[in-house]
Amino acid sequence: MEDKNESVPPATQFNAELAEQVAGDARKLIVGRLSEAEFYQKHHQAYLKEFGVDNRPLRTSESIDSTSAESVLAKQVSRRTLLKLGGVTLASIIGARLLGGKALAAGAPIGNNYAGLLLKGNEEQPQKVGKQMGMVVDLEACDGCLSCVYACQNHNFNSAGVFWIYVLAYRDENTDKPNFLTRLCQHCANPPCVKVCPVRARHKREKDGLVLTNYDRCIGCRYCQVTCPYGVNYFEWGVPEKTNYYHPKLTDERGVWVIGNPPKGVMGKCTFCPDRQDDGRGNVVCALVCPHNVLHFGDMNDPNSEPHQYLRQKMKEKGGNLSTFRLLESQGTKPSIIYIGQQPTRSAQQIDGPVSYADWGLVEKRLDVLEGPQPWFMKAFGGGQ
Amino acid sequence: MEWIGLPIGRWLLFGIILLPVYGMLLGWFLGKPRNFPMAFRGLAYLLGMIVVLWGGLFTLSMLIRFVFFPS
Amino acid sequence: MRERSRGPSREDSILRPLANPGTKYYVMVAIAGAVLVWFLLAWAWQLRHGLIVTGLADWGTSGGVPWGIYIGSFIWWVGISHGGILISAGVRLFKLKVFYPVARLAELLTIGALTIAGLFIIIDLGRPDRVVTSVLKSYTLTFQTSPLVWDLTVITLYFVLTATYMLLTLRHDIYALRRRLPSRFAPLYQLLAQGYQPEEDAKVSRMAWWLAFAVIILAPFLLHGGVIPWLFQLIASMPGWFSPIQAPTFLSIALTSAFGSVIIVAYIFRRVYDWEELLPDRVFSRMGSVLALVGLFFLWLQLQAIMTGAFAAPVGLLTATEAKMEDPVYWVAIGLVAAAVLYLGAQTIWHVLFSVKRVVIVAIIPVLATLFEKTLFIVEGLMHPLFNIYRTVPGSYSPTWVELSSIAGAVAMLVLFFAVVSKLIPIIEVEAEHEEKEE
Repeated sequence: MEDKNESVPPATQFNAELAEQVAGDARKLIVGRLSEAEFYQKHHQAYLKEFGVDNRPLRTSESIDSTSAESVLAKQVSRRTLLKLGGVTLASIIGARLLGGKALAAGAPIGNNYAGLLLKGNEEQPQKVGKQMGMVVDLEACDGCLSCVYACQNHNFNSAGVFWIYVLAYRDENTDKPNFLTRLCQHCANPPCVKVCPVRARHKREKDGLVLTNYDRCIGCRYCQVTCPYGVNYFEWGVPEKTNYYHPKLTDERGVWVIGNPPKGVMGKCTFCPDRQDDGRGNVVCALVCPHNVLHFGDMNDPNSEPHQYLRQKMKEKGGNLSTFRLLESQGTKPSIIYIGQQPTRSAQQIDGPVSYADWGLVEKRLDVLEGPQPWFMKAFGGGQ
Repeated sequence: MEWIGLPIGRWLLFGIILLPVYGMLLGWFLGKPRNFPMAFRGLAYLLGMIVVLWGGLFTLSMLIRFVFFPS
Repeated sequence: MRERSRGPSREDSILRPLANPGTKYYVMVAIAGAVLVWFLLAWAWQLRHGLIVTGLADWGTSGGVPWGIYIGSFIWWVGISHGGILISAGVRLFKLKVFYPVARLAELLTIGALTIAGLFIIIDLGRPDRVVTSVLKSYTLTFQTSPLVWDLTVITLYFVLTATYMLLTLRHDIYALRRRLPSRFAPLYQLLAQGYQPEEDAKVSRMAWWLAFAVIILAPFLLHGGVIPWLFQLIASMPGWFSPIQAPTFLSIALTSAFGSVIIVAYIFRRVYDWEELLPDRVFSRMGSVLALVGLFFLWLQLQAIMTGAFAAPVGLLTATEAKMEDPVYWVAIGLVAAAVLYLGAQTIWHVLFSVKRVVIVAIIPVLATLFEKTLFIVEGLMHPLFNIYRTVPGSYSPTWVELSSIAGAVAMLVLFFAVVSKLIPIIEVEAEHEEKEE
């Protein structure tokens, strides 16, 4: 049973299997394969057994109401008890569903005191025309719960240790408290990975600026991984561990296979969920499941998109003094993600976060599990790795 | 990555890497003693070897495909 | 050009390899063949299960490096291939007649080494079955931006130019030896010397000159001192790589391994076929001197890299340089090259120190050291990226049995290549005009 004593550090005794099942069913809920009532009933007994309560909301109407979204996301999150793991995941999925795809009224023009990024009209916008999907990531709200990591890994059927989105806690010289960095593909406007790809398997989609990998064309040379300054690429070194049964279609609207995990011998990375972009659902899974409103996905070239709205709102809250940065901006990659928070300095070093990857049943360092089969004679020699 | 509106690779290939080849071809066809049949033979060897190289590579890749990546 | 009759002895010597082979030949072929078969089985294992059977892994959170000894070996073999045509170019363009006897042998080394280098690219790919279709499909787009495509283009050019050079210059030799070549390969000789007229020699000689001209610009300055180092020095994400100095550094160490391997191959043939007259001592002495010079240049460039990287460099470069300097393997490689340079330089100045055997033994050093140095360069560059916030950076790498089998298999392939080719065509040029007069 869960230890409810607040002075005890977070326990790792939750039921990972239940969380995984719930997360899987939550995904089905998102695409409409499961109704909310079914979802609630399916795990109700398990919740009562495991946690003693089942605080997951069950609404009877599908009405979209922005104020209820706020309350669903608010105080139920308590990272010290990992009790609400599955419930929180679900709650935020439902809540974030309501946030996605809304047109909001135009706000005040964006100011020019972001650290490292001065916006002077359209000249400074990375991709000059058309949509450029990106994110505003509020690192000050992130608490390292790793929900986004878990959701992405499962949604894309990634192999162990493949983290298209990765959250790290780090210590830095400018502050005592641990900082968090949510690292995912920046979908750069000037992507070095696209430039170096010898077969143009890695490309930038014109419609919305997504940097995607054509799994049918990639020859697995791994030059994109070598070139990327952020380390977001994960090669499928062996046969993929999981079969992708979830996505109804693995090709995007152009008919190119870019969705889900790559096959053996091919490179993969965060895709910004093109299946969601193409069929109108919008948003991305990591942003959907985040319980703390950290990730804000939208068109970075549209000053009225949700991420820019959020940025303006935060600026207002901070009285016009908001610290933002783009990661490794000096590399000239023109990343499409704006981070709110302090930029990590060169002396930043990763430390253990409040929630470990093992807590989620995830392998953090892929090299630990990356081992191919041994032929019989190598086994006789005691292995060759 | 661009210079005068063209990507850098175009300048590199046609303006630098192929320069010695241009010189060589000019020397073959315009240089003394004039012998166009031999010059064309040389050009044929050149193009033929490109075909041999990439054709051989293609054959190898098809072999690999049918044995190890049947779909 | 009229064929100058030098008497039977020179021709006899040149034709010696083409005679029926003895037991030793078959034993060598059998051993090399066995090693090759082992390598092919290892490669089949890798194709079946994927590159997971190597010691490679993603850099970043995974804690590994994505490029290792396969790419190091690729660069190594391209370096070895530079000896060939540069020697021929030296002979034709700069009239360095002392190298004339090893010219064709070196050209064959170029062709063999380049083919093996290309094979290592294929071995390193995750999906080699698609390489030709995917590359050709997108070439008109990718050649504009991708250093890998530039690399493929220039390697193709280098291979094709060397092959054309050989095909053109072989025609005369086959015709000159037509009555003495083994008759069972007649169709091959007819194909190679098809349409030969003695009158073409003058034109072929000029065409060969232009080929040598093209290659001597392309190979050192645009291939191994160009597109190949550019694969690394253009990558700002890896501060250990990101410097214009990689081009001359790659070139200098490539030339050491190139001349080193020509010395070794030439010596083997000299011993086996009693070619002391055809490949006299001074050939080895001069090649040793050239090796000393390029080796010295390499060491000087290492000094530049260390000084720049260690003095007051930005954190990324400083970290990478410090890691290099703390690695004993690096210093062993450098030390060995320095020792080789010392001896070879000394034998240039004080000829009493020279002996062919010593030059050959010392030549082995830079050939081996190059493989280590290049692999280290690649792996350490990837272990110290700019974005080193990850706990799993620096990563780690150790090659597995599959990767090591490929190194052995490649050497076996070269041995077999020479074993076969030396039985088919003369590997020393017949035309005596270029040969340096006896001193």
